[in-house]
Amino acid sequence: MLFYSFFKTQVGQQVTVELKNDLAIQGVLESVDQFLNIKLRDIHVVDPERYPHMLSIKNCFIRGSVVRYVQLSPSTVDTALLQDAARREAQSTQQMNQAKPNVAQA
Amino acid sequence: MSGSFFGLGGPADDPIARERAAFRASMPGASALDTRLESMALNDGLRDQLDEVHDTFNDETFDADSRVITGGDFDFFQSTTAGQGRMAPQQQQAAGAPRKVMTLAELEAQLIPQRHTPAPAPAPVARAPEVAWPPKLARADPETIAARRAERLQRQAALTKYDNLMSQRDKDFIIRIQVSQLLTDDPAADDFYCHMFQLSRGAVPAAGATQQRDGAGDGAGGDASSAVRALQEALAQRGVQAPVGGEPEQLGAGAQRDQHFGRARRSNTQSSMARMQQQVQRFVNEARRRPKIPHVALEGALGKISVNSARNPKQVIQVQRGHSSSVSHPAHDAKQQSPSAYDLGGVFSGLGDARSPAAERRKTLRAVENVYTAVLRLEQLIREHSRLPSSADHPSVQNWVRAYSEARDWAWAELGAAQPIMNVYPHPLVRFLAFSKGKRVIPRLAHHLSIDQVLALTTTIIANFESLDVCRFGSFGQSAESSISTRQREETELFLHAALPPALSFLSEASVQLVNGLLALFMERNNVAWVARTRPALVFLTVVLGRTAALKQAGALGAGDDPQALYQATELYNHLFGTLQGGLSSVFPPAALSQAGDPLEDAYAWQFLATLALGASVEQQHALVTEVRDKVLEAIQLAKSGRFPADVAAAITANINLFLNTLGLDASQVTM
Repeated sequence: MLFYSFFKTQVGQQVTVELKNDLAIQGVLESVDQFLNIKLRDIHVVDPERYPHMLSIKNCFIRGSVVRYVQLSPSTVDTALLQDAARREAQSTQQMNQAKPNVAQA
Repeated sequence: MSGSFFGLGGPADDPIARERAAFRASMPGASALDTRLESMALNDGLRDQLDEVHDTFNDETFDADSRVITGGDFDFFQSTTAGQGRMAPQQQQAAGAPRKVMTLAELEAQLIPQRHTPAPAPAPVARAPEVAWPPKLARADPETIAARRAERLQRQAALTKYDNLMSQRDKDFIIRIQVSQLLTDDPAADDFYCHMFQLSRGAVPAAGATQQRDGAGDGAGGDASSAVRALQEALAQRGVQAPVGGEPEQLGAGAQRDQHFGRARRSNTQSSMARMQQQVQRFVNEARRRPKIPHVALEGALGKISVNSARNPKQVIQVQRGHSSSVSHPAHDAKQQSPSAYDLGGVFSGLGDARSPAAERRKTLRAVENVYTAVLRLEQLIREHSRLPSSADHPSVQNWVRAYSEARDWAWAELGAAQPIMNVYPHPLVRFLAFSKGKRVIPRLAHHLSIDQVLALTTTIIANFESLDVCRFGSFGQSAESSISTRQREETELFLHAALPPALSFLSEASVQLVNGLLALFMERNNVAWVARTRPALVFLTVVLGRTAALKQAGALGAGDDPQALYQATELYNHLFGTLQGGLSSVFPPAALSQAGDPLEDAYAWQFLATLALGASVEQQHALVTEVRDKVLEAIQLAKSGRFPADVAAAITANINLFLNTLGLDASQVTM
């Protein structure tokens, strides 16, 4: 849930999403869900010549599994807080993994 | 992909938008208000304006040749007969072509010739507003009124044709599936980053959300609130509600509609929000009753089915989870051969408890992580503190106190500051501070430590000062050829800004005896002449000497400090001066006054000299001036040379004056 939480704070910011098919889309992050599906608005493609069919598109929904990178601006990220959140996440998954064997047998 | 994501604008001429609108209309709470919203959404604001095809007003500009426009007289108001002549055939084409089903368009197509023909000669200004913008309000023709109503009824009928296909139970079922995937046991921990980020940036709570979330989300309220927030975001996408997270620009159209319908719409969305909250509450309670197991195995079936949710997603990579605490790698030569990559200050090449430097390093890293865990727990407890009952003997308060002191003691133990100094070299605390994340956690931890513990921490740092990594490479880098690398510089900065300040603030509040003791310890345990070349040591000495001087002044005013301690302070000072004498010019960083360096780098050195001069007797002052004389002259020359902009030169002079003023001199008095 860490990435979901992180992207929720990015809602409303300019991001550039690079997909696994090399298409790079720049737009304002509209929303994100638990699968990290992304909705962007006011998009424009970074390399418009290769993708002329994208000229008229203003908003899009991107399935989370096809995203390769999401480029953000560093001023919107609090790295110390992110480290803390990552540590908490690691602790909780550790606890869950330790508890799992008991649960599965129950 | 029609460019109308929110269902705004444009007529509902594609089945997708129509169905979407139909679903929205069928949501609980559809009323006349929603219908009005609908028609407003479908209305593109152009009312009885001409369709694009029939609008010939700008044809001259759009169809014209550029030469015609920029060349001779271009008549914007189509008053010439040439313009009219061209219009007629176009109209006929346009009116014939799009045989749309809409009766309104047909009517208007018929009306166009009536509008255009009785307007040839009169003044162009009078003509223009008649045709296009701004759109006039209701025309008095009963035909058009009836036509419009018929049109609207038709649209409504088309939209509601597929209503009520799903019962409320079906809808609840689907919503329950989706929401249950979002539910978590501990929303405060799962949503930690988002929550704390919004708190730190001044969160704007979503309109209509009544739950206030604090750090330790409790039970049902906590579960529901995270799911409700997810739902709020979903609603916000549809433009029904005010935006989440303080981004009003997101839904400009929604804001417009706000102005139009104000309170009525707000109460409508609030009631549907409340209904959704009740639903979510029901889902949460149900989910609670049956605990979620990641694997489902039916009776008599072979094998298990794994239930995926947001918490345990499908694993793509297999990661081996062995016990990571085993440290048996005796032949780990790679790390030893390239210590520069890992160990800038040579801190890990000394002896330790474990067998090899690599193992030692891993042990220290584990200790750093434990301290972080403890600090996170402490901060969490502090956040919970506000929610505790106020009476001191309530069991939960006692639990809290116990948990807090447990976490604190654990962190203190892991820090290793209390370990006896002679045992291992380098000291565990020194190894701890060799990592940048170790330096970063110190101020956060110091916030929770008791005064005694801070004193112990300060003492340990002082006693082992010269073995600190920042001091080691600070001193190595003083030779003429080499300069300090960027990473070393960063580490030094981090040390001075993060790790040292708690100790320094403690020092600046300490009594004379403490300060004396610490200074004595410093001089005894460290090679002062060697370590004085490093910046951290100079900063430390500056603070100590400054504190001593302040205490002496207070003592002179009769503030009650015992004179013996002050006498001792003077003795210590003399001893320090004696040690430093002869090497004072090496206090300065080597690259400061060279071409490439930043001329303001040596500010800390001037500050040190200034505080040193504070406590100096007359002979000591003479000695001081003699030694530093060259440096002073050089610096003044540099400031006057004009190589730097005015403000930089002024800053250089100010630095020098720091020192000179304590001696009663000034830079301007120096004759070249």
